[in-house]
Amino acid sequence: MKRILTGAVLILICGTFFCFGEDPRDELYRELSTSLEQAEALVAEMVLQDEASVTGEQLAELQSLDLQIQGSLYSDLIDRSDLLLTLTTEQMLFQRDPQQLQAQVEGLLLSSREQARNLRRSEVRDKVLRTCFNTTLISFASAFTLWGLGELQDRRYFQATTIEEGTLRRRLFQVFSIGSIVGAAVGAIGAGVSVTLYAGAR
Amino acid sequence: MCRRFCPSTGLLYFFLLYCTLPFNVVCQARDTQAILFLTTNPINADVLLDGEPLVEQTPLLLRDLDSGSHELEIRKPGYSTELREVDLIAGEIRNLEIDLASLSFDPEFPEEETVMIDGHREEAGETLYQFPGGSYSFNREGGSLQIEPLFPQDGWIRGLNLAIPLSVAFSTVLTLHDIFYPKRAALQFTEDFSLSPVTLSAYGLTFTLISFDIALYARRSKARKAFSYSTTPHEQALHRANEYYARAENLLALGQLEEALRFYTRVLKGYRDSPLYPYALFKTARIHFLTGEDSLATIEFKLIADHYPLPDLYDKAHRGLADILMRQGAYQESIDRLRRMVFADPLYSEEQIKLLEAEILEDWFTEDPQVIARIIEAYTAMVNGYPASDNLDLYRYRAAYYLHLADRDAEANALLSPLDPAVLDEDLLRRFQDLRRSMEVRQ
Repeated sequence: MKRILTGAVLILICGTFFCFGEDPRDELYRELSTSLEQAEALVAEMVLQDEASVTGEQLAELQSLDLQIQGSLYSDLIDRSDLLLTLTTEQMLFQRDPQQLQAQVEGLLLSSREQARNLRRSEVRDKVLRTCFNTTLISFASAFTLWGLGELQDRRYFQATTIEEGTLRRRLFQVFSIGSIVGAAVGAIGAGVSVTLYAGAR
Repeated sequence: MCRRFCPSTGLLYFFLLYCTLPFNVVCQARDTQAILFLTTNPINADVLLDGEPLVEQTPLLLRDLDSGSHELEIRKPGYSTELREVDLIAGEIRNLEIDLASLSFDPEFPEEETVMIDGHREEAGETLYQFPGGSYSFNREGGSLQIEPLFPQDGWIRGLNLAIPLSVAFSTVLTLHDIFYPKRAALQFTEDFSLSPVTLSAYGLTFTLISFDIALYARRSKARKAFSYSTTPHEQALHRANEYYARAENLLALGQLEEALRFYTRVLKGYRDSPLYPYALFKTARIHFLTGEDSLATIEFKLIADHYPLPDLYDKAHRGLADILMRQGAYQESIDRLRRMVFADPLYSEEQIKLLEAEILEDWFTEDPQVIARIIEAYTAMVNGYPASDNLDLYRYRAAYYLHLADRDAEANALLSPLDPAVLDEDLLRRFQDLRRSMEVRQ
């Protein structure tokens, strides 16, 4: 009976120890949690002071703490640490040094101006190309038409019954012929310019 | 951790949902200059305002803009540049949302093992392709999907390939006509052979068509050489942010805050350009604020206020920061935060925030009695500034109360005199009578 009682008391003591005794895992949790809280508070404080910024060394420390926490398998701490690191990195993205900032602004301005210049140039080129191409088509069409009219005058010249009419038909034929040649020449020049502009367009 | 749906977390969800309801309002700014909220889809785009590049990227809060017309140029690599002109009226708060059209299109072929793109075999499945904008043909040949880019020159080349032989034939017929029926012509080669202007024109036309054809072939070949595409893992596609955000919202509705936070964090970690990024940031901030994790909430609210000022989040972020600072006893900083609000959010009114400022001062007064002058000033300003307010009696009472504490009973009496005890609610009436009694005792 005594032995049973002693055994029971021992089991009770062991149980009490396991239930209320200091678990080394809890100690680690507390330690990591405190470090994380301190890191969070530090970043929050720096964020609130507009002039202060998180330094590279502080970020490295944070990364090292994060590595430690990732290895601990405390899911709540892992999530918090992960988020803190993400937010700090995000915050640091906005803390660019003035030189970098100026380079960015200049780059932006330069590309905007270049684009505007290209746009203007391309608009002008398109306009000239359209004009040249239309001129080419109209010139060739007028060359054909004038040639047709010249042929008509030529036929009428042979059908002319009076000298005056014959002279008029002959003169008209010559005018239309010259017009037709001019049309063909302008068309050929227009075609050359259009093709060059089109080939040169980027 | 509450795993089942419980009413309190449901209410929390609805509160958070209400806090981020999208809206597009135009309301009145306090000063004579205009305020512009500019946001884009995707965010983090560069902005040039009236030709001047801005340091910050979208979303942007542009304060103190002169009324009138302003030119905006929005640029983001991989997206088309947007040019907008906005006309602002003095005192206006405008919200401008710009959807930037992508210069590429990003297909996925989750059911294909491989695809043939422009003659090259590529792995498909979980890969997201980014093709430059244009036309493509999709054919299934021999069991595999074949994608070929279509160049705009193709149609013209096909047309010219038909037109050139016809034009050559026509020119030949005209030449034969000139040979068999010689006439006075434009170009005399021999005594018996000359070409008429129409034949020359026909040759000119043929030459033009051939030259265009050659130029088109050259262009197509150049475009073919320049054609390139890129691939990214499915996980990085911007639409994944929407999926994670939606999952986080569902988990929040079920009260699973920890899980919801995990998905909001995923949006924050991988999708900086997603328009949902600021919303995910706000939701995490609210959750951290409600669970007492003030440091994280501070960082998140500050990020929204400084770098992601959406019209429906900006005021809430400042209010959140003010609440945290007040909780920490940083009363002046808390008031400063409230003063940065622009009241673009219909959830807050200027009067309401001024009252909150006065209440912060009252809290401060418990620690520092010297603040009493500022409390009196705040409530007196509210009495004068909001004469039609439903809370006017309360403002009068509070101003009088602190005047009485500052031994300025004459001014307190003057403030209390318009109060009609018959219309005061029970609580205010009781406090009013107590104050009156206290003043009489002092007299």
